[in-house]
Amino acid sequence: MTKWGMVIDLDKCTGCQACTTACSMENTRLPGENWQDVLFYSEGSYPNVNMRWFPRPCMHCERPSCVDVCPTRATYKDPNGGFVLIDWDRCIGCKACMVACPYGVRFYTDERAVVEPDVRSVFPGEGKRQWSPPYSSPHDDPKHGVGVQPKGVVSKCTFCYHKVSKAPAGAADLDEDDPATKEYTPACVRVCPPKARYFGDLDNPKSKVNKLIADKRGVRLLDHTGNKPQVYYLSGGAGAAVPSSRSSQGRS
Amino acid sequence: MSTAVLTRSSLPPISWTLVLLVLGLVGSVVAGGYVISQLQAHGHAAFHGDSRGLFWTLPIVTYDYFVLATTGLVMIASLWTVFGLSAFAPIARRSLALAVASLGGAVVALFMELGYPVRALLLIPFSFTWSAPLFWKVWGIIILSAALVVLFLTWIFPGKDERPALPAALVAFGAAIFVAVVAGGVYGWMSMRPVWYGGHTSIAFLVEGLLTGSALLVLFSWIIYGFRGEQAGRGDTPAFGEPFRLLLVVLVAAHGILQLSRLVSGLYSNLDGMEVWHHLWGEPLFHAELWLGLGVPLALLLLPQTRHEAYALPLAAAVVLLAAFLSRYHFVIGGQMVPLFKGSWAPDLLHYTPSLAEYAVLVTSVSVMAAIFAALQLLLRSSGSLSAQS
Repeated sequence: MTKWGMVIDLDKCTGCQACTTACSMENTRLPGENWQDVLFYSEGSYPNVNMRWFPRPCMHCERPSCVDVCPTRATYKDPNGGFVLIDWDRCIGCKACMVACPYGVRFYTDERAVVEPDVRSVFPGEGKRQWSPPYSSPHDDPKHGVGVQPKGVVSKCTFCYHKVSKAPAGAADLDEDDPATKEYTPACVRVCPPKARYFGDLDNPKSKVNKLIADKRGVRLLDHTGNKPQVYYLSGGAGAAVPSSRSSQGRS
Repeated sequence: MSTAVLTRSSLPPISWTLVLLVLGLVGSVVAGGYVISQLQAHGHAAFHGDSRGLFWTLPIVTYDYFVLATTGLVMIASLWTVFGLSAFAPIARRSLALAVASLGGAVVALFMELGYPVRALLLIPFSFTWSAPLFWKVWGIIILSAALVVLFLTWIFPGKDERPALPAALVAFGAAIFVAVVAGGVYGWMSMRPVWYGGHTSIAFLVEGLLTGSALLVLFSWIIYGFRGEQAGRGDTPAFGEPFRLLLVVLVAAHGILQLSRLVSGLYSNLDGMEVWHHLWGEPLFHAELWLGLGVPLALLLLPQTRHEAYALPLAAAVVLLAAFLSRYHFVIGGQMVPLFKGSWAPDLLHYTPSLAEYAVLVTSVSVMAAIFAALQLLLRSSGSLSAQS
């Protein structure tokens, strides 16, 4: 059974946000409500300032706490590919999944606009759609949380389910450099200029993602929570990429 | 078996129940209408939650507060209906009526918060998500509601003097404990939220439920007796004498111990996320909740100069209710103040100020509760059932 996973090489990532932009366009995100984001952290004060960045998609965990807490089975783990998805037709907007996600990757966009002007008023949506983007987007597939987010529900990164789920059977890796898999590669992986992202089958021993995880000692974020992310980070031993939330208090 | 038969002359005057009903209806229409108009115009942008981290805000605080009060009120009634403590017989029926009213207030707040409330009604009970605390909580509330309906139909409306049939009373009591424990689990079982996490959270919820339930019962009894403490507290409601005073003292003390224990471990801990406690420590409202909220009721109920005064119990109850609400607010909001993986897009600690629409949700819930309680009182009075209760 395929279990899609991502590897992000932090030593290669330049923090350019191409992934964020590509994701936003691909998935018709509202400005500022980024399923995929590169987070910036600063530590210390001038002149001893350290700036770091950290790319953060949904981790599509093997044991997702968001799925456990969902009272309506709207959030679910797709056995075909290992995606964590949301059925917008079952979501009630209780936000329990948002509270339970240790990675902060879920969005309830019935809120004040993060970025002004509010595009929802500039391009008002029809029916339950929050807005009508002035460019093409994937066909709405509410059962898998794909398309324009409806009102009153939670959304998240789908690993570009609408592309990846159509990949050729048995593909070990989805690579933008391979013409056979290019169209099925997630948007954030496909546009990454320094090629810091890799996408492949974690259950396939021949996949490049498995080789990278093994050779470069891939690590998972907040592994102690037991969620077992399917996104691995390569840091080359450079240390923690995300400062402690108390780091600005001067505590060790 | 003790009974508590009261004469018509000892019934609360109808005038203040009517006033409560009118105020409740007016509040429900005005505040509820305002919330609905805001939701129609702005959707949930009318509330001040956001995807950076503050997902559950004042409407959820309100919902939890009234759900817990409901469980506490059922547990207090159970002192008579299940355990047969005759000192609490006179207020058992009123306690159950107030429990129904409080549940009504909770449901209203929840429905205003949810994206799809009707869908929730249909899907949560029948999705059988065994791993979700909210699934169990909803089933707990369904069973509790069913038990309350049975108690009303077979015991309260017929106006029977003796205790109700034990099975229904026992189910209501068990369901109330279950709901309070699971409501605590909704927060306490989340290891990624250090401020909430821990087995003690369910215990704290149980105690808070009993505390708010007791205080609500005292206050509403006082109101329907026209703010005449000597009647509500002594005359025909002997439960509001020594036993209830002692019960409230024990509950305030237990709540205080749990609060202080959590505070000390929060201030002591270096764990990421626990810095919220340092923030709360700098908030005047937190100190008011902690020291005045605990100290004033204890002083009123324990000091020889005040403890036998008619005003002591209702005044202590009013302070307890405010403090318990602030406690719930600080707990729910505090647990979400540290944004998870937002980097410099969000401050170290998120700040939240409720919107006018969110305050209106609170007013709506209180009003709905008052209206339902008053309506039930009038219904019982007109059916003659009230002659058997205080």
